[in-house]
Amino acid sequence: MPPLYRPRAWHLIAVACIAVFDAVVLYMVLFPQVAPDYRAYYITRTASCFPRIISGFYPLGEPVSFVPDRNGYKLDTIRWCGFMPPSSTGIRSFGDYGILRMQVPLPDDDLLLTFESWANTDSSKPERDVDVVVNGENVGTLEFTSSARINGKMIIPQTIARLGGKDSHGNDIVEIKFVVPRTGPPGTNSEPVTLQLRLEALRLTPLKQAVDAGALEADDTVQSKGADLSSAPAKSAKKPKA
Amino acid sequence: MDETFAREKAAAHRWTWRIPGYVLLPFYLMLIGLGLRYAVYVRTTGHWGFNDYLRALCVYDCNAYERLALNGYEGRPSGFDKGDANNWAFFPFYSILVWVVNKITGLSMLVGGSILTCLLTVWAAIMSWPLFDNRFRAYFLFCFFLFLGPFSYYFSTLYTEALFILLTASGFVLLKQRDYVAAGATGALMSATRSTGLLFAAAILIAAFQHHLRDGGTVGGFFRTLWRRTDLLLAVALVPIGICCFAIYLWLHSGDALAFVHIQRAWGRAFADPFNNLYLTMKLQFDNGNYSTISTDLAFGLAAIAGMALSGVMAWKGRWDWAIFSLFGVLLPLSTNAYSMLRFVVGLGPVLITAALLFARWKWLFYLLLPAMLILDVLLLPTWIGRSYYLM
Repeated sequence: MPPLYRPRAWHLIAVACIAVFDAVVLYMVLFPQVAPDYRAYYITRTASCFPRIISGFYPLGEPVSFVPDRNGYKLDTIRWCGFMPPSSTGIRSFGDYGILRMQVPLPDDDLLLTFESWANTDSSKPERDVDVVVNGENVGTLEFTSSARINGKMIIPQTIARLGGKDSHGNDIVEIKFVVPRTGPPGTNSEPVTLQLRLEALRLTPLKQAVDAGALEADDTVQSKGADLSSAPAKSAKKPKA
Repeated sequence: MDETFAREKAAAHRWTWRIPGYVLLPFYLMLIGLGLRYAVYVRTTGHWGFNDYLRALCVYDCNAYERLALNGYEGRPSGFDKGDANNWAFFPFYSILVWVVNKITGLSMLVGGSILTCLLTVWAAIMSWPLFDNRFRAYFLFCFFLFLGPFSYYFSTLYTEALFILLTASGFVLLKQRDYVAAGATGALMSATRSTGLLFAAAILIAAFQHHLRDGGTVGGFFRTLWRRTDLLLAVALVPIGICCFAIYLWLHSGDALAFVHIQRAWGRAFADPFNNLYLTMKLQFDNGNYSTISTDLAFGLAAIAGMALSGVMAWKGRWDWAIFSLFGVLLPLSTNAYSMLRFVVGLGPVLITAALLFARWKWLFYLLLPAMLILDVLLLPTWIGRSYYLM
């Protein structure tokens, strides 16, 4: 026969205190006081990257190099979300998209976006399309059918370039988002496998400046498709899909 | 008559001043282990600096615990290549102890923390002696594993394994003595050291249930009288206090009480079916056509299976409190990912004790394991210093 246990009052008082303490903790668990970007990435997992704190500084018209040994603006000030640090293969995207964010005073002109990119795919795999979205508007699509480099050249109409609003210093905010496709089911980390886009260099130039420099005719490797550039000038760099 | 009594009293007095073997053994093995690994380090690197040796040993999470003791919890996540990591994943109790040692002695976090870990391991070994039921050979094997085994570096640098095993052993000894409230308080410290410390609440209830049956009680009788067992109620309520204090701190610090869970995304951890995770981990290298070596994934999977198998042995031996604690101590981390399973299994005291009790049953196996562990300790040390994912 097990010994008869006699309940103790102090045990119950201590348990009551702990229950109040636990209720406070439960409130804290149920009502996190966090920023929307934190909630989206860590709690609801609706975002596939967590934004970095960056200045967004970008000298408009300058080429940005994401490969350490090459010429160009090198400060890591525009890599905002979904891109790994610069390396010998450029900046690599992870998750469903990578975003570059520039905070720059914009001229009264359209912009020309040029960049060098490649992806971890090859000709044995199906075509992988990467959408280029600026301030929420699609400006073009890259088609990766092999591991070959694609030099993107897209016009960003002034109306789209100004959609990002302004920062506290009066600079325009330009968010360039590269939306990559999913290529495989999630693994044990529940993260979907996505195409890894690698950007080696990028440049955003006022269109007039680009035309004056002859940049529009110089390169014929434009690979964008499907962009709605109705407001773009007739001298658009967009070439139809081959 | 008086003379005989005086002689007996003196003999008894002398005996009490003798330090028993189970206390000295871990001390000696700890010193031998330290000396051996330092010698291996000097031999392989050519450096004599002891501080350099401790620095070399401090890889992966050791740096995180050191920084935590040094600077506390970080602000907005920005670590790793994805910029989404910081040290919120690391539970505070161990680093608080390192910080206290630093404040009291003035030793650096690295040196003070390393000494603390070694002493905590010695203490853990001594504390666990009652769990061996006087089987000294098994106890010897257990101590040998801690100080001279293939994972000895976890027990000599800034990792939480030593503290967690100490608390686990203390908790189960207290349960054995039926001191449930003290065991619950120990559980509170366990849950401030690691999230799996929460599982000790289940161990308390199971131990109480088994004690009730052992005393001649019935299953129905236990549940009928459970509402009157205020000691059990308090013991179980005490266990989550450690993790709750951490949650409150994180809420005040980051706004998210479960930040220690959510930040795990940076390590690629998300809750899923642990058995599916195990299956995926086990088959990964074979899917890639690797049939010749043991990949890290396979090693982690095998460690998880070993942990679960030893939990089965505990259940078979009637130690259900150990078994449930250990089984879920394996399944909980496995449900997020198989990564680091070696370390999580090695950090479970009951698993190590059961393995020691099992393998020490056969003398030949015992004598075979000692040199095998020693050789692995020597061979794996450079691998550990070289930051091998294998051993992480």
